[in-house]
Amino acid sequence: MSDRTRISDRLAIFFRSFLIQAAWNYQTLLGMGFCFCVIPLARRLCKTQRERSEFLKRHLVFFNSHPYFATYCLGAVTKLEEEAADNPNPDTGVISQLKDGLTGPLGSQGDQMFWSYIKPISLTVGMCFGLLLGWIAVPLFLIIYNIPHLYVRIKGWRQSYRMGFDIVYVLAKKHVGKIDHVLSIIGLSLSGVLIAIASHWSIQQNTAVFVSFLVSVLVSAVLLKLKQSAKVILTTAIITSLIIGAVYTL
Amino acid sequence: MWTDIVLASFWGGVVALDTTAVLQIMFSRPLVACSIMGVLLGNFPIGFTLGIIFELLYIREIPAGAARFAEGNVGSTAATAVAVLTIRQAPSRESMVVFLALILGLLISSGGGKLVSMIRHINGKLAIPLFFKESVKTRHVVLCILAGIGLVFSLGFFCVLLTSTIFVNAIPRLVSVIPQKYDKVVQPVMGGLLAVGCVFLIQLFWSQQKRWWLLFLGLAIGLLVYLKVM
Repeated sequence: MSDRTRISDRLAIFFRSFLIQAAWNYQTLLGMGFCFCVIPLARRLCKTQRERSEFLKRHLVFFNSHPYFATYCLGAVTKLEEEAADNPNPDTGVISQLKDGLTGPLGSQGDQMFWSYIKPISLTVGMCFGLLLGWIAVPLFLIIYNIPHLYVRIKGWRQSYRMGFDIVYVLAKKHVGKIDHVLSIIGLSLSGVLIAIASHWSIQQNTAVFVSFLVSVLVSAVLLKLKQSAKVILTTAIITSLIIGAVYTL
Repeated sequence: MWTDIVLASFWGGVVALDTTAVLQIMFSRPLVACSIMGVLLGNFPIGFTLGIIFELLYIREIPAGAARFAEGNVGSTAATAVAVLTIRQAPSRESMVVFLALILGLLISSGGGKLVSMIRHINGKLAIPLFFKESVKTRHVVLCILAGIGLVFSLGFFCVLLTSTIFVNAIPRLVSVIPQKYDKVVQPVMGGLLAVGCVFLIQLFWSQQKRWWLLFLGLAIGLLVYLKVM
């Protein structure tokens, strides 16, 4: 093992993180993708093929995280691998411990923040504008969604590369509860806005579409309350709409 | 026609990649993917309308961890391609074609989820030999990643290609045997599915924040915004 990494290596690792889920599998989840991301590190730090193979095998193990939050782990691992390369008797067990320790928090925080809040909220904003103003919805959604997305990726990488193993303590202290609370308030209010705009859109189509919209909202809400599956709800809505269409037309 | 089908299929492959494997900057969401499909095939309004409806229907799908999810992105993209290409052949039957495309999109999405699961199993089969190799080279890992990307792209590409090839010919025949008076009967389905999507969206946030007043506040804001804009 020799030289530390260069900026080009670190950039390569960061950009490879966009492919971390490319070979997602049930054995290692994101493990293969993680191993792919640290290849520039292996090329830089390992002199012989034997060292490189050992390095890759160490990272070719189970790893799970939200894809955007994975940069938190990648940055810290890069830092620790650099330190291990400088050490004549490196303890690579710490790196495995770090990965194991981050698997839970990175997955749950990311899933909750992005899949449960930021994605639906930005889509709802996009659709509200879409039903009112048309095509603007598409770029608007992409901008609103990708600002926090890229922010998390870049911040995660920079902060964890700077802190190394200590990122574990930062993530452990990080409370996303307040952010989630605010986002859920925004989300529910926006759902109301979307319903109002969607009902007006259906009035513009014709009376039958509007009646179908209103009836389906009520029927779907009742079916959801009764814990029916999405297939049952969709089928019921389609049949109800067809009956309403038949009543208005025939 | 064939050029359009290949173009649509290529876009289907790109959409499949963005869903989970590459980037995930969300241009694969139905709102964006269907709209772009509409632009590519020359009918933005249909793509956009289908995009909004499919988006709401699949908004609560969470592609997290090993959870199985309906492949709404590729399914809706394929359905949009079929709708736009079919409307070219039967422009007077737009309502019926959109209705059939919506049903088709729901069916493909359901099947697409199983294909994603299958691809993940194949990825696992490709990965396992590496665990037992004496010497792992970087190119082994790169090949596994490329294989994963290729498989996911193929899923999207062939899903749209097959769907378009089959249904762009089948739907006009089907539509021709259905009397035109039934077109108005199927029109409210769009409203019905939009409603289901809205309820799914509310459920997503309601599970975190059970406050009726927030919903009503939103409704009031929505009405005001609509009146102001319109």
